[in-house]
Amino acid sequence: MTALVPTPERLELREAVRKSLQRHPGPRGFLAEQPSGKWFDASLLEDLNRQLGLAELLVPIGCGGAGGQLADAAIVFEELGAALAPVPLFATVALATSALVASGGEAAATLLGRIARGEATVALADARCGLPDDHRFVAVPRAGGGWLVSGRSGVVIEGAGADVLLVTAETGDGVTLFAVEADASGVQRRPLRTLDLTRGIAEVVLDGARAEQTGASGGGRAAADLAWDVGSVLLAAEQVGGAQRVLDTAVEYAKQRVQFDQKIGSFQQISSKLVDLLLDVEMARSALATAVDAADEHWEDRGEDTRLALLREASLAKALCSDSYMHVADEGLHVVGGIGFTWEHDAHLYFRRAKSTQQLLGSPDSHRERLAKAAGL
Amino acid sequence: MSVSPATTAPSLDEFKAEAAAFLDRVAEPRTEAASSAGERQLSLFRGSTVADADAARAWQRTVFDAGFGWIDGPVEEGGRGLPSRYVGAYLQVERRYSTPQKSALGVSLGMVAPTLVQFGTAEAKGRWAEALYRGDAIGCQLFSEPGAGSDLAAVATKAVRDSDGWVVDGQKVWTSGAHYSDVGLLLARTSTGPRHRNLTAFLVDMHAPGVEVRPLRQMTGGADFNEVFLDGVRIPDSHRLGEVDEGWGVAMATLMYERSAIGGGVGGGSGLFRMDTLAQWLREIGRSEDPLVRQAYARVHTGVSAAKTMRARAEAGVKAGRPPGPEMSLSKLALVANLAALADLVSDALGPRLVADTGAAETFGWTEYVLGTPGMRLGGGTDEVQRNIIAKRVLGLPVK
Ligand SMILES: Cc1cc2nc3c(=O)[nH]c(=O)nc-3n(C[C@H](O)[C@H](O)[C@H](O)COP(=O)(O)OP(=O)(O)OC[C@H]3O[C@@H](n4cnc5c(N)ncnc54)[C@H](O)[C@@H]3O)c2cc1C
Repeated sequence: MTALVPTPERLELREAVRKSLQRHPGPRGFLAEQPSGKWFDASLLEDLNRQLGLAELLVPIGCGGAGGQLADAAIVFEELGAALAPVPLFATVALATSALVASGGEAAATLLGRIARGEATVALADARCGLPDDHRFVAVPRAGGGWLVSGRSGVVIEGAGADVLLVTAETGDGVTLFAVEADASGVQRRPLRTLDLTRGIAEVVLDGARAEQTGASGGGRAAADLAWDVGSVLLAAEQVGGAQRVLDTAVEYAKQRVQFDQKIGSFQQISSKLVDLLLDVEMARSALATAVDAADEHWEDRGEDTRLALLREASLAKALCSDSYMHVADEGLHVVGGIGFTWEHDAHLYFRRAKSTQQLLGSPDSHRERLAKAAGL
Repeated sequence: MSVSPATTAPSLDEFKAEAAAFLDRVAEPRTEAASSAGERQLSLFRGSTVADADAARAWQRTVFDAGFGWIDGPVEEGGRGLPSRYVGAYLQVERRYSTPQKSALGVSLGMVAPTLVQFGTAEAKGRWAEALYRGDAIGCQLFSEPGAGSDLAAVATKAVRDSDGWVVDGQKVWTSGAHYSDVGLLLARTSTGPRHRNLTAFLVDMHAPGVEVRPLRQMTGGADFNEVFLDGVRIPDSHRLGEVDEGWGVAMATLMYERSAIGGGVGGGSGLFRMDTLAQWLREIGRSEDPLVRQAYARVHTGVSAAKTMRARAEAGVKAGRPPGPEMSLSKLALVANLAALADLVSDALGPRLVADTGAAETFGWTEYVLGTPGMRLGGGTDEVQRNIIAKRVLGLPVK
């Protein structure tokens, strides 16, 4: 199990991401000066890509990427989640890259190359990574080559600013993956108001937009499902990072804040609460480690057995980490008291992220149901 | 102007008929449509603006002038002089009508006014009591400070005697509604004596020189609470509540009123826990068949129902002559548990529609509710403080 004990290289990677993040104002600072209507920090994104090449991390070497493992990506997302970094990396790195790697083929390889070179950010529009009951695209062949896609997807993570939209659409040969250039005619995107102020979500409507098939006909479901599972694992990594940061903050506060002439950490209601939160974080971290390993094994061999193991572990981790993060964010805020209920503190931003990630990519209940099904129940 | 009191009290039925006649004149009956989803208040801490407060004042004035604004208040102070069960009777009738949002008056009528009536001098009551009940003035609670939250006895704001009154210096925080309030119920340190015997309560004019109110943005996005800076603010001695250095007892009475208001109001009386409305909503959004949603609904229903009865039992005890007490703390803990159960139900029912505003009615609006739940666990005494009270006073445990 490689994810159990981080290698020296991975510790270095963690340190490097942390350093880059520390040079920026943090989510509260960013939101305070944010130009209206924009949720992400372009200068932070540029720094992360220039210094650490995060966009190319999971892109295979053959396509011009770094050929990193999911264990590397998990460390990166843990740190991004800990800092609530407002950058659109999750859609490109976690979702779109895995869908394209799963698809294979020339068109996918070309797009992966653009991702690796930092030429394109890509969002994935799919039912399972968005709104299951509000996603439907239909693709028809276009006279003279290519395809035309129409339909809508109600929730597309980081969809408003992406250069390319990767969509699952129905064709005569089953669900297939297509790439649509976001500036093509017939593409409409509407950024939505979001609970999480540090991650954008958009609605995407396509009306006969030109599209390129990326991957085998009828292979779209499998590709998007792999993206769903890898995305669930990396979202769980974000949750672990966030939960750890909230816990650290609450513990620190409990050692400083005095009420009734005592540090509040000396009250057993507070100390035992914080111990329970540590248990939450460590259980979440453990579930994540297994899931990351399962993801890397499948990333390596592409086999059916490892695919099934990944499905199981991804659902297990997403369910557990979602609930742990929500609990830690709620109780961590409670420990810092009234100030945590204001915009003078980060606690509410973590609470927003926890609730949002809990419901995105499948609720804890739906992942537990999937796990039970995979176990033959 | 107040209605002159009846020489003999009307019967409850006569009183209700009178209330209905009044409300028929000034309000619309609550229709099915109005009480259902569309108009429902989903927020626990709706940031009231000055305009909201003005609307609430205007309504309160109408109600007061018709004789329903201070039903159980002493006649000589402007009240109607009826027993408190008439208050419940009026509210019962009023619920059948669509009336303006009154949350801006919650602290004022639920905490500040009763404390004034219990402890104020004749002069203070003359100056403020009718004004508060008539909505001409709004009161806020100036208790918490940066260093004194749960440990309220640690307030550091100082009041120093000065010829005919007092001079106050210090800082308060998280003062709900200070930005539209006219008078503040202030707790300040007046001596170096022992804990709980060094504080005095006052009413401070929020428009007096030296009072500065700065809004604080709260989690839900609104700015319903504030920091209040007091710099050399003068208060006449007649606006002191209770004896000098005996403010702790006054504050305890206020907190009792607060807990009773919170534990009873169940989310500010916003109707969030109306189970028929919730069930209707689940059907409307097409989520009523999901077995997990059904379970989550039933958990809320069960908790709310038992909590209501628990509270009714406590109230019956009070009527039977037992002193009101720590039961209110239990009610608040039950409320917190029910709020969490409702947040779970809402999450289960909405999924990603809770986290992005897809434009569908009655979906994203629930984020305001979810974001308000942490505030209910903190305000009015945190969960831990309530447990300490119960451990000590109900179970008799040796809690410090
Ligand atoms: C929405 C809202 C509205 C409010 N409105 C008003 C208002 O109008 N006027 C006003 O005066 N105040 C108001 N308050 C302030 C409120 O009363 C305080 O926030 C509350 O008492 C907690 O104080 P604190 O924030 O300083 O937290 P702290 O007291 O510092 O508490 C921090 C943590 O330590 C815990 N803790 C503290 N002491 C103990 C103990 N002995 N045992 C175990 N655990 C303990 C607490 O439970 C909490 O989890 C409001 C607060 C909120 C959230």
